[in-house]
Amino acid sequence: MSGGKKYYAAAVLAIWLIIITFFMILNRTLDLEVFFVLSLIGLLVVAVLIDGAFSRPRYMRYISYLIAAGVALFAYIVVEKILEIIAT
Amino acid sequence: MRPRASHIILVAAVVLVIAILGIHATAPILYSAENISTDAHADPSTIKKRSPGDAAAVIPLMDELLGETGTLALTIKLKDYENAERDLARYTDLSGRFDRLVITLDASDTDIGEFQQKNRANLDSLATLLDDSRRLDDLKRLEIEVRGDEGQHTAIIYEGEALRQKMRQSFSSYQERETAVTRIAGNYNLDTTPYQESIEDFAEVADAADDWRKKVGGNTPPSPLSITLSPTGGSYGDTIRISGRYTGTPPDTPAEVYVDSRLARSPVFDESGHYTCTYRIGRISAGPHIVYATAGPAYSDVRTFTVFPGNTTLTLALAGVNRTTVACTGTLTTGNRSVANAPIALRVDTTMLVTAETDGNGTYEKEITLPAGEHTIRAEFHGAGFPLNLSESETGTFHVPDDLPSPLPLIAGIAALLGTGWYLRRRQETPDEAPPETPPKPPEEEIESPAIDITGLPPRDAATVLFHLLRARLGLSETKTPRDCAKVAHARFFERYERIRYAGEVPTEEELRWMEDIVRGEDAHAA
Repeated sequence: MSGGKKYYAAAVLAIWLIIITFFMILNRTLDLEVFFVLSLIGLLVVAVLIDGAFSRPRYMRYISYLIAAGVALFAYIVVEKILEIIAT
Repeated sequence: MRPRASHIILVAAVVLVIAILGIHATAPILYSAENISTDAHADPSTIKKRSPGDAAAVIPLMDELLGETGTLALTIKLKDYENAERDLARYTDLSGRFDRLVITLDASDTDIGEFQQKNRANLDSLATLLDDSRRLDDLKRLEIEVRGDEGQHTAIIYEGEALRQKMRQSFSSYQERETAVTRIAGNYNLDTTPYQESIEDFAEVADAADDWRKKVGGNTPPSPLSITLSPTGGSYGDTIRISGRYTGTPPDTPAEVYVDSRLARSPVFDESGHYTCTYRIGRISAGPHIVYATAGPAYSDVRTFTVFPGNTTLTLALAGVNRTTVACTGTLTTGNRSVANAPIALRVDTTMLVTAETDGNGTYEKEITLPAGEHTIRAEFHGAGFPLNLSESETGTFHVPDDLPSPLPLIAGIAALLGTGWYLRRRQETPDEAPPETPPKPPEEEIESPAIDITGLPPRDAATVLFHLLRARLGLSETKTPRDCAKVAHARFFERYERIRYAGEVPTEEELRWMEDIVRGEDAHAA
């Protein structure tokens, strides 16, 4: 069970991404920024749920790197949006 | 080998996805129903119902236009000028809407386009009729006031004669359009009764001018001032030669030549009493126009010349000034003549209109600043006030490249990335920097080897028993995980147990014996 946890997490994340895509198409808007932010939220939730209390598998370390990169990109998007608002 | 291949495929897929996303990073909106780039991507539910709606609005609008002619002509005939002004404003507004609709639907070459031209001419005729009718009323009043003053009375009679002829010409033009308008209206089952009535009312107004003219002085006294036009018709840019002679001694003052009751030229008499001047057809509407001359108290007869409408050609050239500004240049010509001081409308993306004006050479130039994206630009000449038909240029396209991303958010993003990396690294290093909870491990020799009994246990449970024993032998706390223990000693043992415990792997008999040896302290190379 413990070994399959990461595969369950990957499946849940994939389903989440499909749900995002489905609703974006339903809304007739494909915006990469929105997609990225919602994906990052999904990744963060999955990472918290699969993180154990007493052990830290190697894949969790890799996920933390991915989250770090995602947060940095998210910060970039936020700063860009703020600059857009200030410019208008 | 298989995991390695799958890793390579995974990395390649990730790199490919990142590359594709990177291409769209500057314009993250891949698709938006409201911001379609081509017709192929058009979302039917979000397209403005322009074409069907507009097409459906054409016929009722044509019906309204015909109805307005009847109302307007009737109010003019009744001399209700206040309401007539209101009707004219409404008629002008409706005509403007109809003109835009014809251009939007690209129906200029159809009978609807012909109807538009006839309607525009009808509008001009009725607007002129309103002005002339008012002027005629003024003349009627003035004629009564100046009775007894021969000079002024004669001037008013001449003015009245000019007006009468103008109204008669205007009525002729209005009546001439009846056949075409009725034919087109019949094609769309429109009610032409108001339009027919407007012609009758128009005729009554023109007849009223004739009656007044007969009443106040049917016989105009022979004038010493003659006038001749040559030729009596022309198109835009043509020159009308106006000449005449004053029989007897001409006055010292120059003659005054009036076109449509407005002073146009002031030629000087020569020694024999002749005068000559030219009038170039410029910004003047198509149709008949009245000319007469005065010299002191003498008035010439009234003559008319006709201005024929001409076709125009409009060109458009686009040249980029900088990244976001495009210079639109072109010329407006009719035949081989350039059209000066003409208003040009530049239609950007079929919605935005920017105005420009031609110079003396018929050339116009306008710089337009555009947002990023592909833009279509077309020049249009609507011919208002000119004896010229409307024309459009070819549609040109101009691409404004996307703005480069500002370096500030890039720097902020890199700073955030570095900050996040630093935080995570610090978080990982913190447990190592903390003081050890337990005293330094005692030498292994000082601790007695515990009793080991794993006989009959399942392999994974046996490995757990061995892990507990070794942890106890090393004097480590029971809260320590295999990874924590691996940092102290016997890293291979604890890492192997970690995989057994958490990855679900099953140890072999040989591995269990090796682990047991380590617990007993018999494997000298384990640490």
